[in-house]
Amino acid sequence: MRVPRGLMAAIAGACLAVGGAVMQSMLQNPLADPYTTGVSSGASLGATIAIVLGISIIPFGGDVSIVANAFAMSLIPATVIVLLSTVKKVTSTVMILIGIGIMYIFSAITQILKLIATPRQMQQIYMWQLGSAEFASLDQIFMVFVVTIACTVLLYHFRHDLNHLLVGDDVALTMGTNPWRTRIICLVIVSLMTATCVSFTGTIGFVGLVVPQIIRVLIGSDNRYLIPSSAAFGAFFLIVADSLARMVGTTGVPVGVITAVIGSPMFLYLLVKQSRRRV
Amino acid sequence: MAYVETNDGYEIIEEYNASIARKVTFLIILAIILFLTFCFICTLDTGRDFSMFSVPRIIWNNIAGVTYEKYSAGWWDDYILIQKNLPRIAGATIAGASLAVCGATTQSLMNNPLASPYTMGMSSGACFGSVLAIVAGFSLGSSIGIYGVSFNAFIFGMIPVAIVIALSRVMTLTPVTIILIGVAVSQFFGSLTTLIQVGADEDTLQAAYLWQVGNFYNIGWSDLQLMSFFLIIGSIVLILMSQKFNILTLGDDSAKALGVDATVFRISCMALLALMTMSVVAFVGIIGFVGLIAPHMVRFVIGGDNKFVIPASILSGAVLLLVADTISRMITSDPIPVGAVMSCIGGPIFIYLILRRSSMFKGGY
Repeated sequence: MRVPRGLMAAIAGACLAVGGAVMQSMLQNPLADPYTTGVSSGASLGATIAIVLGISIIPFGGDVSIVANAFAMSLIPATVIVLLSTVKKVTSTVMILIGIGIMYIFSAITQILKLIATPRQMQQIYMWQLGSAEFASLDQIFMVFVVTIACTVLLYHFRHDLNHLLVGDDVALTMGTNPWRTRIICLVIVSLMTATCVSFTGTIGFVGLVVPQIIRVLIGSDNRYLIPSSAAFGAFFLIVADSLARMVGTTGVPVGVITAVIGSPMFLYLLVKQSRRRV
Repeated sequence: MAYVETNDGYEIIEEYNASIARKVTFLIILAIILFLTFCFICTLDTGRDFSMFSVPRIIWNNIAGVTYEKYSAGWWDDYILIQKNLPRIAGATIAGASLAVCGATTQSLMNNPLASPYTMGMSSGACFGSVLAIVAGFSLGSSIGIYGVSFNAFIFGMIPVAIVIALSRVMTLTPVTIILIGVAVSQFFGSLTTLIQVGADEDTLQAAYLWQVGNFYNIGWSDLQLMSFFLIIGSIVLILMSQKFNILTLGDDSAKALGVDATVFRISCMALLALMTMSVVAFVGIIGFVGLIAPHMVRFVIGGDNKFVIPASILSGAVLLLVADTISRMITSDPIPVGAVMSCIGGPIFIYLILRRSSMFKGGY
């Protein structure tokens, strides 16, 4: 009973941290992660639609159809991000604020759907909403594991391209990296791994923000080292957060609460640091 | 030459009078819309068939103390309307008006079109403060009880504002950064609110959840007293101050030259707004976006003069939340929290406002 929960926490942590590290590099935005850009909430809405209403883009296959739906919906915020970063050229804070706007809408729809479907299972719904590693079965863990490993390997393949993006689109182009294409491919991969993770754990915020930022302080922003160390530290971070969540009180709390308590001050700090730099 | 100048002067005065007349007309139309919406919504979901035009009569008879024969038609109308439906409808009206006036003034105070009690994090702070007082019995007020809870909500509602004001003294904060600070603070308070309810049973969790989303399920007449008290006091003060709000939009330095100390005025107004927000949050929970949207709808029609924006926001906020609450009741057989409906309406407008601002200033955020 304990092992699946720990495993799930480790895999989810690695998955979200890698997603955050890649998003920060490709958008050149220290505040980006799957949660703050709205990708997680899109996935959460997609999964809820599949679970509650039984509507999915793949009408068969149980867990697979949930993930497929989550993936499809998470592409909506991902598309918005690509358009904003390429066509409209907004600043990094504006982009995050738009992600949060998307998050407001999607989580409101998710809430409405959940209330319509199962008014009695409120406590479980509540836990899922905030993110928790408790309710996963071994099959689901295996699925998340496979997807996370595959996506991380794929993203690691783009490590040089991501490094080029860090110095700006024009320079990246001269170094043989197509910024537009790299962003789209990486975002699709990040969306896929986030969607898989969110389908079974719910939305766990701020892991993708906190973990890569800590790693950046320690070893710098080189994606060759950032991606694997983020995966390792993310797994460690979420296991610790999950244990903390379990130890609080007698019943425990969703792990998303713990990560938000740690993550939101960190978010605030990064925000303030960024404004100071611009002044 | 002199003749032409006076003529120009006349034209300007005439134009000014016409624009004032237009704005007053808009206010009157809004008031009529609010009245009609209110009466119409009173007739929904009652199981009785009285027309919307008899609603004022029933309410007036109740105030006047008319007694009906028990179980007669008039008695049933009175019972259903006054005891069952009206607290909720009046609650939505008062909460909408309060939040909208808070939003309108916050936007002027911070010179920020995205500001509102919700987006600045004041609502979450107030929510955390009251939950802390209720659950942990810990209060910064001297006595536990409704005043201790309210005082706590007020203090914690002020924290996000204090953070923003303190930071803006040491660095330049863009409007978007201010809102992101508000988001971070509300996330933090939201998760702390969950944490201190650890070990709560299913019912408490559901109540806490509904509170964090905002709803009018269990509102009664006694809850409305404090809410309407702060709405009336706050609105009167803010309407009287509307000239100062107009001056503040010129920028802090110009405001100082015109006799308004921006910092002092800002802090004292935010304290008043935190009181109004607290009175709403304490009874109906966190309802977002009313304070953001209502003032913008008003400004879109009559421009940015706070003399008219503040009263018009009161009316439009009331209409907005009444409609949202009715949608939340009518959409399915199970009622859904009004806060969720409000987010569905408000989220897209929020994004639109961000995008419009950023295209206007071309990366100048």
